[in-house]
Order: sequence, then C-alpha cells, then structure tokens
Amino acid sequence: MSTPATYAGEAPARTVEPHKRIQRTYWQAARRRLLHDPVSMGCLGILSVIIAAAILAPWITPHEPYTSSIVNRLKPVLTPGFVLGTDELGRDMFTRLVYGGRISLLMGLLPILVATLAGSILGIVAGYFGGKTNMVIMRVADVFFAFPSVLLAVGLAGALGAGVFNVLISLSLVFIPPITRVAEAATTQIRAQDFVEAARATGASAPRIIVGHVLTNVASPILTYASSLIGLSIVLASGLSFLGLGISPPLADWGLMLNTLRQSIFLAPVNAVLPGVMILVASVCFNLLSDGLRTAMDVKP
Amino acid sequence: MLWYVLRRLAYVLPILLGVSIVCFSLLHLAPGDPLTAVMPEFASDQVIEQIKRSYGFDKPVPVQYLLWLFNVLSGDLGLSQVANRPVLDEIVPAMVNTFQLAAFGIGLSLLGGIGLGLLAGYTRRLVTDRAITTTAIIGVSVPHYWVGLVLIAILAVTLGLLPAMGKAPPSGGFGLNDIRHMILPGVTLALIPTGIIARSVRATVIDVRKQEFVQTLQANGLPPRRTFLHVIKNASPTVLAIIGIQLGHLVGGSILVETVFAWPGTGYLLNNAIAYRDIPVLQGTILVLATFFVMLNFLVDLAQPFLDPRMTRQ
Repeated sequence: MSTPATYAGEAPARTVEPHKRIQRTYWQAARRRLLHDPVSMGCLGILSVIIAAAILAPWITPHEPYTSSIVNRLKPVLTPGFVLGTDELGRDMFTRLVYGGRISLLMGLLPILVATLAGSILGIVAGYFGGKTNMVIMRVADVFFAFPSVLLAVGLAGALGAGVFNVLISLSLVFIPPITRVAEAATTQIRAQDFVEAARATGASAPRIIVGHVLTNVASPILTYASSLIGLSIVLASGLSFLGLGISPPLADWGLMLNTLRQSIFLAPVNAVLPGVMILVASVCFNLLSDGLRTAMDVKP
Repeated sequence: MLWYVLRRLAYVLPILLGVSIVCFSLLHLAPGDPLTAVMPEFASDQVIEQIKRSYGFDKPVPVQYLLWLFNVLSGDLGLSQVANRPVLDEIVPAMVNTFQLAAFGIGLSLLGGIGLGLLAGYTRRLVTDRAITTTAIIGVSVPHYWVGLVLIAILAVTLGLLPAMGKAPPSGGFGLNDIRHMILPGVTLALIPTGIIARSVRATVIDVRKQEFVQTLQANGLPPRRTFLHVIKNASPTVLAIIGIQLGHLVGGSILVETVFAWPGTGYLLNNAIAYRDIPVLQGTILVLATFFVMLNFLVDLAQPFLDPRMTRQ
C-alpha cells in the first residue's frame, strides 16, 4: 500500500522510489513468482526441449523413423550411429522417440484443452444458474465420475475402436467431469459474493456478469486444476497406445513403442524401457510445473 | 443414522442407473453393426431379421435398454462373442484373481502410504518431508505399466530373482510360489496409491495438528504418544475416503498392469475383449468393475459416521 500524502503531526511516510512502487496485477505477480521458482523453470526448460524436438523432428533426427533394417536389430545404447540403440526392427530409437513425442504430447495435451473448455463452460453455467440446470449437469458429471478414470478411458476407446481420434474423444470425456466439478464449485462460491449481486443490481446481463466478473475469478482454480491433469493425461494416452488402442504401426508414440519393444525385454531390457523414460520425464515435469503454478497463483488445493 | 443411510442410498441408486446407461451405450458406440460378428457371411434378409429379433435389436433403444437391464439384474450379462460362453462365467474367475492381486497391492500401499505420510506430516519442513513429498509427486506421475516393465527387466531378467509373468500354477493351496508371482505386479499396482495416500495423510495430519485441541492436549501434559492417537483418530475419516477411492482405482486401473504381467484377471479379460472386439465381455466387465467402484464408495460413506459421528448431521 502506498500512502498518498503525509498528514500534519505524523511522521513522514517511508519514501519509496517511484519505480519500486509498481502496483502489480494478480497475473503479473503470479508470473513473477513462477519465473523465480527454480523447479518450475527447470521443468519448463526440459519440456521446451522435448516440445521443440517434437516440432523440429525431421531436421534434428539422424535417421528415417520408419525404415527398418534387419542387420541392425536391437543394437544397444551408445552404438556408433545409434545413440540410443535400435528397436526390434532395426529403427533408430532416438529418431523414433523424437517422432513419438509428437503424437504422445498431442494426445496428452489436446484432451485437456478440450476438457478445460467444455468443463469450464458446463461448470460455470451449472454454478451460475444453479437450481435445475445445476442438478442436471452435475448429476450427469457424477455418473462419469463413478468410473475409475483408466476404466472409463479403456471402455470408451475399446468400444470406439483403435485410432488417435477415438483416444482423443475418450480422454476428453474422461477429463470433462472433474474439471466441470472444480469450475462449478468455484463459480458457486464467487456467485454468492456481493460484487456479483451488485453487478446484477445495476442491470448487467448474465453473459456479461459471467464474462466480466465470474470468469476472471474462477480462471485460476480451473487452470491450475486442469494443468495438474496434463501429466495423468499423457500417462493415460500412452497407456491406451500401449494397449494397442492408439496409433497404428509403423507410426509410433511412446506407448506403442513400449508395447512393441516389450516382446524384446529379455534381449534388450534397456531399449525396452527407454520410451517409458520419456513418458515419465514429460509427466513429472508437467506435474511439478503445475505444482509451481498452483503456488504462484496462490490457489489452495 | 438410518436417515443418513437412506440419504446416501438415494444418491447412489441414480448413479448406478447412470452407470448402467453408459455401459449399455458402449455397445451402440461401437462402430458397425454389433451383430456382424455372429452374422453368417451371406445371410439372407430373412435370416438377418431373425437374428436381430433373437437379440432384441428390432425394438426401440429404450426398450432394448430396459430388457438388457432386466437381464443384467437377473445375472445374465449376455454371451461372449469369442468364447461363446456366458460373460458372467468369464468375469467371475477373473474377478477373483484381480481381487487377490488388488488386496495384496492395497495392503502394500497402506503400509507405505500411511507410514510415509505420517513421517512427512510429523517432520514438516525437514529434509524427510521434502524428500517424501517429491517422491509422492513422482509416484503419482509415473506410468505404472512402465514401472512394471522396469521391474521385470531388473528383478526378473537381469537378476532372475522373481518370476516375470503370470500366476503360479494351481498347487492345491496358497504357498510361497503364489506370493512370489504376486510380488512384482503387486508392487507395481501399489505405486500410485502409495503416492496419493502418502500425500493426503501428510496434508491431513498437518491440518489436524494445527487445530487447537491438539495444543490443549499438549498443554495439559499429555505425552506425545497419546496426542498422536488423537491426531490419528481425527485424520482417519479423510484418509479412509481416499483409501476407498484408491482401492477402486486399483481394481479399475488394473488393466495396464495385468497386461504387462499377463495376470489372468479382469484387466487381461478386458485386453482380450478389446483385441477381439468382443463388446459384450467389454461391456460386462466394465459394468461389474464400475458397480464395484460405486458400491465401495457407498460402503466407505456408510463407515464414515463410525469414525466421525458429526457426519450424520445435515
């Protein structure tokens, strides 16, 4: 707080240099806190490298991801020419891991994006309008909540059949209910506050109040919660691929690579577990980053 | 108390109904005609009509649902399209195996999760706390099916200490060999619940210890061992709820781990159902597992008032 003026008889206020007295908005302060957290920044760095590698895959990989070579099957890690060895068909592991990141990350991130949009809309509508609307939306969400997440994803993807698009649909459906619940809880809380009542009293329409007053206040709990689901989403997406429900060979993501290399675990155990290291690193980094985000945004879990 | 039970029941029944609707629609979500698998290749229209009628597919969908629900409630989950046996006969033995493994896994994660959580909750801001919290975060982010592969690679392939896959052949009783086969999949299954239980035990214990009654107890000269019992008792309802959910996830999420270890449980059944597109088995297994999950949470809710009588008050 800055004191605008000193009153007579009072000790002069501690003078602060004008440029140090910058009033930060909530979002600026949150960003500042995040940028000063070494763990979050480390994770962000690792993730940037993985994502950049996935985008730039054709230019940074030394081999073709799909040409197999019988003579080069299951070369161990650090073989000259094949930094991370080769897989069961003699394809370069490094190249395939980089290419696999494209699909794995996409299948992990897109469902969260879709679910955050859909879940926020449903949750805010349910929380703001209350009554019957709330009951219908939340009871349906409760039903989907009644399934363990892996089971629901497997059931939906299993019924829809294999394919990247079907995995995206299934995972989005898995993540919509929890996000809806968080959005609904946050909105119900905000809606009871006086400033919303004041806005309504001045004649603001529902869409205007939602966009102008509710959304800004529920954004941080929703975003931190959604970001905490990214790691799980990547693990689940790769898990579905691992079960053969995702992308079909010769294309590959980390889950499918784990699946096909599993047969070779007795011959080349190190190669067989490498794709999982990528899943682990991506998932841990997203979770730690989300943890940092929660602290920076000062959202209580 | 009776009022509380009725209220919980009024909440659970619609959910079970909803779960059954979702499971029923899985059959209709599947692309293509659900009957293509049983239809003869060059069936005439008349034969097609007849088969449709015998499966009840000539009726409107809501009627189909009610008929299906009635069958399910009387224990008929349909026929497996691959094995041509009742789905229930496939599920029951698989369920037994899954529960056996799940019991072992949840036992491990209770030991680990509660122990680590208490340790972290009592050593707040110390190195142990930080180490345990970080491990718990990694524990929940780890792809557990991959950990299974790593464990196989190290303990079974490289060191040759434990069997890599499958269940011990039946030997008439439950012996050492059965346990040896359960260790790797059990540890793998326990991993995520251990992380989550540890995290919630830590948070709850820290929360309870901040409350005033703990201070009062300490001020009254109660030895730490006795205050500890009070903290445990107050933390138990929250922890019990988490454990219930985790057990459900353990059973429901066993598909990946059972596939890795070729454990003949529901996960293995599901995996085969997906591979052969045997939708009735898929549908039946998911229905049974989801019902189990809902009922488990219901039972946890019923157990709560015994730990915290305030729960029954509205």
